[in-house]
Amino acid sequence: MISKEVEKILLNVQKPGRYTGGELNSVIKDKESVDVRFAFCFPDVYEVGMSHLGMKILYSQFNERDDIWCERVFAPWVDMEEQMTKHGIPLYALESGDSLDKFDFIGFTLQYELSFTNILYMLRLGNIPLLSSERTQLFNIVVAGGPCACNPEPLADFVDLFFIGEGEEVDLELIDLYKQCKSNNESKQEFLIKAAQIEGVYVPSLYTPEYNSDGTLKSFASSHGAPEKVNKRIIKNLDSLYYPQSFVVPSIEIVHDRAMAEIFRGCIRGCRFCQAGFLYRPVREKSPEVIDRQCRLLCEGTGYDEVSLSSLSSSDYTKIVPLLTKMNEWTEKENVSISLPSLRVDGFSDDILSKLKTVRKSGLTFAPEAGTQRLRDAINKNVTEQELMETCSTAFDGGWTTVKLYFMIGLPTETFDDVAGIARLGQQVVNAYYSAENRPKGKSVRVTLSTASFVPKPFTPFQWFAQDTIETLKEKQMHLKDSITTKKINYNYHDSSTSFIEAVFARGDRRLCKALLKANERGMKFDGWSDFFSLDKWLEVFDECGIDPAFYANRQRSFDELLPWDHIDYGIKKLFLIEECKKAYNSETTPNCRQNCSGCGAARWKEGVCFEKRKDMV
Amino acid sequence: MKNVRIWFKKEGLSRFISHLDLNKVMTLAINRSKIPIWHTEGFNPHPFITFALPLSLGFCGECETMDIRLTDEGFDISLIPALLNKSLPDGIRAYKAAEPKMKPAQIARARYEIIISSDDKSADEIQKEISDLLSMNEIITQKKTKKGVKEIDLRPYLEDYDLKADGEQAVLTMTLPAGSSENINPILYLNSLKEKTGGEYFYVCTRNEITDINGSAFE
Repeated sequence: MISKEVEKILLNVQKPGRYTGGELNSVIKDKESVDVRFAFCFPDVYEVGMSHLGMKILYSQFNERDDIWCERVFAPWVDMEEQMTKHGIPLYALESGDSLDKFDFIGFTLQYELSFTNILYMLRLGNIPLLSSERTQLFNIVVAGGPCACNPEPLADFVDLFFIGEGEEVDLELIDLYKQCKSNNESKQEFLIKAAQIEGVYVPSLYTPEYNSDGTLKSFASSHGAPEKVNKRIIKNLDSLYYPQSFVVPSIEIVHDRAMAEIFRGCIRGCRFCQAGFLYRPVREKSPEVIDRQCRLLCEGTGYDEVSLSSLSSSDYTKIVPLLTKMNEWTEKENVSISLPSLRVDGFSDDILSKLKTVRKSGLTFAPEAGTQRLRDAINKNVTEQELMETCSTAFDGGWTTVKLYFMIGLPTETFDDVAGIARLGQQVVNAYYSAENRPKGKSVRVTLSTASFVPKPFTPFQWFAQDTIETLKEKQMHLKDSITTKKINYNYHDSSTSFIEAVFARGDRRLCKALLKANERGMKFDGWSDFFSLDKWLEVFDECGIDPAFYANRQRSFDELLPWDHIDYGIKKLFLIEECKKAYNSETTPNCRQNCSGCGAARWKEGVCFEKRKDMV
Repeated sequence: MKNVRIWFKKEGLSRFISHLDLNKVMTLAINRSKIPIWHTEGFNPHPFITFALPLSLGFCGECETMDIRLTDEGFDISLIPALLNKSLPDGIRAYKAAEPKMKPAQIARARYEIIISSDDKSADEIQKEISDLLSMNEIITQKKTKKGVKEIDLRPYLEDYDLKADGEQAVLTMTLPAGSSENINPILYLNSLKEKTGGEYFYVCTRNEITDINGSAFE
């Protein structure tokens, strides 16, 4: 329960429901009767954090155990921060109302680089010393996991240990080790040395980097028996994996307020810009029976009348039609609608559509990612113009009048003509509307083109690529804007300066910790929110720390450079990434995992699509 | 089809759930409890719920109501409170379900109890400040309406109130016009108190009675 002091300030802040706890299905335990208290921290506001599936899974899984109490902590919005600071209230967890410094573990999920400043913001508000070296006790252990843990180095000074890969098993193993070390009165250092022996745990303080005179990494030595390469953890069988029967149901509106079930992990496609497509290999599917049961239980446990089938590319689920057929047996009766995000252009079939009866006709979204076939080949987004046009025509005949198309600009090998190609593609979609015979009569079409600026990410074939400068990205945005000639097309673009800072941290090294610390001292936070992000402030911070951000974002690396994340191993061979990179520059495509194995290395996990029978095999 | 009015309390931290969000909370609780509720017949059918008198964010309520329609007329409505309570967040509790006797438009007045405290003032001081405020000839404050901010005089609405000190807090009880035709939010009085004294107050406001024009409880 939150304190009376907190209650008093809640009248002075917006959306006070973010800070109260007490939601249906939130878990309250007796703190005296548990051994380990875990504060699960999401470095963004309540509405964003509560929408995150991973947090829901781990929260329930931890709390299944009698000896662990897992609670939730979110970043307070600035009005709340002001009130908390003014009244001397530290950051607290929603279940017990206890401050962060009462917890054995303080765990962060790293979903996007621009949330890094919020980690320090939250630690500071919770009265936790920021630097790992300043926390000497076997208590208040700061851990982190999630996709951005694949390059943990920019956070190496703050986080005691990182989970690499999928968390469901490794986190419990770590907690058991902690209990054991605690009862043996061992030190934090002894605990960390032992933790480094668990597969999927990376302890940055056990590694020492050395640098060349040009600033690149020279060596990265491990000590105290920590492994030279830290392997990711992977869940082998998704069907038998723990899945919650109910979620905490927020009492206030959040971003994604619905039941969610994962249908598979990984992605067969191998789009060369997509980090998730490489980190989560190989593809492992859940069976339709298990998904159907989990969805039904969740709807019963939460009262949600919408369930979302989540994955990186829903239409690639091999049993999608049987699954939808099975689910329709109960969803129709109970007024539950099914949503299928991340549909590929080529996966939009009548068969699927007829099963998703309640798809709202407000808009359709597809992501061709690039404007010309050549560039789509270079990034291995194997979608053709013809497929896009056929899909749009189907949609127009089915009564849709708005289409959103997502693209990236600043992709490797991109020319100004490729950028103009985005406008041409938009125009063709407009034309497709007017040639669709069954289009809604008397209505106009709206096509929205949206561009994000490409950020090269570790563990992708573009990890060596020099990001376009902010100026070039802006020129490309203007070029696209000028290439659009009809009012039926809207154009939105993301601010390229945020993509620049994202690129710095995505491929940064330990020397960036200094910058994060300085940014925190200056009160920087919520960089993912345009209300707070400031390029000028970041440039000042880098300048004061003697850091050249272009070294990380805009420098072309050579294939033989030692990269800051080379000691982390997701099972994808570096040689494979190099081959993929070379193919990109020749605009050569790579078939997807179900068409042909390309030997990326993920088969070493001995699971999933790597061991499925392919059609061409006898 | 059968109309049912459900009474519930909204107390403690649940007072920070806004009216819009309360609608969502109730919808989910009804879905979860499998009460045979009538759904609207649009493109996106959803359970039909209406609230007689919305409660401001930050207020507790002791006799709040919402109306639903049941598709199964034989459903035992006395089961509804217990069914809902299994699915509601902390602080919200249903306690009665019955067929409605009045229309929401008949609501005319509501009674509020406001417990007021301050970090740097005693209950007697607060009581004195409030009684000074309430004994002025006119109490002018700003009221936000759909058309913008307008000035109103709160003095004429002060017909029935009581003020006392209780420990470290001052307790103000007042009955004010409520409903769709005229509604006076008791917080307006606190706002003008703040304007007048420049002090900071902490308050918990509870709506504990809703009546028609004759003073009979809303049923």
